[in-house]
Amino acid sequence: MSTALTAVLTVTSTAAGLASTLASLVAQSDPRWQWCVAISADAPAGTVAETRVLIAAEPRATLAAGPNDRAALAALALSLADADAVAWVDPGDRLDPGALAAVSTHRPPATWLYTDEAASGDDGLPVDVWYKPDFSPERLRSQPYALRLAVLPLPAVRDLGGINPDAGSAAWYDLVLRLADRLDPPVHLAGPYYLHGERSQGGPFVVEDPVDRCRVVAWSVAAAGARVSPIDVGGRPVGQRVRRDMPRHPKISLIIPTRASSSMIHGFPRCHAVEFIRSLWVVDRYPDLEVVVVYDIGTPAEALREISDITKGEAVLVPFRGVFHFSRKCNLGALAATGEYVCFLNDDMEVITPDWLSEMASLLDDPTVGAVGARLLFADGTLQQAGHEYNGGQPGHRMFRFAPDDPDQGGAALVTSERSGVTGACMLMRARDFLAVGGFSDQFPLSYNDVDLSLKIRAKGLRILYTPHASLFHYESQTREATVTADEMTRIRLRWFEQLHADPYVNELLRSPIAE
Amino acid sequence: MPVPGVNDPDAVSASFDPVLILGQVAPEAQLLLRDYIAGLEAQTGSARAEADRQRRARIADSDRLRLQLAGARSELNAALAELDAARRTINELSGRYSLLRRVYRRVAR
Repeated sequence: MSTALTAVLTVTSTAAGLASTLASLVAQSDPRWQWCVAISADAPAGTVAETRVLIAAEPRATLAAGPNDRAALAALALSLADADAVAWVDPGDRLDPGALAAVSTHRPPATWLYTDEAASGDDGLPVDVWYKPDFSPERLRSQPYALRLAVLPLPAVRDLGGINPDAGSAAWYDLVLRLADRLDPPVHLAGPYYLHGERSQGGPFVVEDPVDRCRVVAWSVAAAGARVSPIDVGGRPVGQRVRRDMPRHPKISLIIPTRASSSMIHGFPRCHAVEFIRSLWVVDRYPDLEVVVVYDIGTPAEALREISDITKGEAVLVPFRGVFHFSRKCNLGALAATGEYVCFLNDDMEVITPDWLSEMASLLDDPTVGAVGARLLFADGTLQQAGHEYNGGQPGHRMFRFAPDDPDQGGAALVTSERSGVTGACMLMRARDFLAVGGFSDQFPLSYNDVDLSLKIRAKGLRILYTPHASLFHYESQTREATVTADEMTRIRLRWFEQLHADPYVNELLRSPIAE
Repeated sequence: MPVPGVNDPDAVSASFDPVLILGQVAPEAQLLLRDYIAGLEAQTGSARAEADRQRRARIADSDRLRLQLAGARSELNAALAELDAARRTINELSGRYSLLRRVYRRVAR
């Protein structure tokens, strides 16, 4: 039996759903809880009296009536709490009967914890389960993903000054954001311990008002200077986009290995390298840009001339001798580059979002970020990748072949968030980090060189981010045959056995166990 | 301009500073060596994690065996206790039987 007492806050303007919430608290296997309910002044007549009758037989429940403002009501509910920890449950939502016992067992007293969430099906069992990643701070800024059920240490909440009166309906989100900046990383308790009264239709559960949501996120990234706008898909809220101002524009070298091959795209012949450089060397391109083209000896001279013409002679052309070796070509390009940042790009790409590079560079401005990847689409518009995911010893592309606006996996492809790795087809990083970890490994000529580089960057303690707000087409492997050699598979597993089985951004319940 | 240490094996080996030595080799070789070091570190980490996992699995196995052993011991003790009780009952009954036989013989005489 735990000794931690958890205060559960509920803020409402109606009595509807409160009986269901209370029933789920009474059913808890751990009886050490308080329920602090605050009802707004604009609630229908009789709401307070009806709620008093509801809780009359439950000494652990307390009730207060307050103003109409949601944040003020949240502060009122919080003022009723006299416990070790505090959590938030919306009216009509329920907790799994084992929730508070599991939380008390797994939450270290000094930090916070969050669980997965789901909707409650007709039979009371979880449906639309949102299997969340382990702590992903950028995702928390892009989406209120760790709010339900979040359990926060009450002394730390009080130290922070409690509820921000200006946070409106996003008061709990604001509190979690502020606490996340202050405390050690939270524990992620996998499992749908929080059950919503309403279905999510397969997307994430985002219930805060978008204006309030964006305002509290803007406060949390105020030091970086940011504009925040909501992201909706089909009228359903998914999260928000954080646009950070760039105080400076570090020089970026785009490194493009190529042999200037052509193929048919959308029914037309296309020389990939030439057309790609044409799509990125536009008038309003990133201000300080260098293009380094690493070309095979057999590359048509006409294509190289065209690249020079497009860039008005500014492209750095580096010849490569030998059989195709992606890592060696990229390393050769990086050594010839002069940019503070290097961006590795396949040549069979096309820019979709004009500010793709500024978006990626603005994320790399954070010194704790080591690499940034973009959203890549196939020619048919489906997702080629939304970052890597590693599971069961196998590297893979997250949401491969999904529709580009699919809100599945809690909207993972639609919001900026941490990943264990991103594809080398479009990867931005600092040149000094690239050189410090030995660049792309010579041991991986064709495949997994990006997996290896990503994991080397993470081994340095740096985060890797994926952003859906930098989009490019990737006509993948139309310029070479996609092959994975057994040697490369063996070598990547030898180096990164553990990481390929325990990707923190794949929910623990979805990870394949290590085969004996 | 000559770079100190480059192509000068004595100067390089005299420094005994791996980072300094690494900084003095050609950039391409630096990349190879840094990747080699990163690879070794990764393999060491993976091997350590795997050894740790196996150690935890062994501990779990031995805990499970200990529990089974404890359960078996407990069952054995219970069976022995029942056996002792049965023996005591038999002894008691046989004592009573002997007494009855003696009483019966005396009465019969």
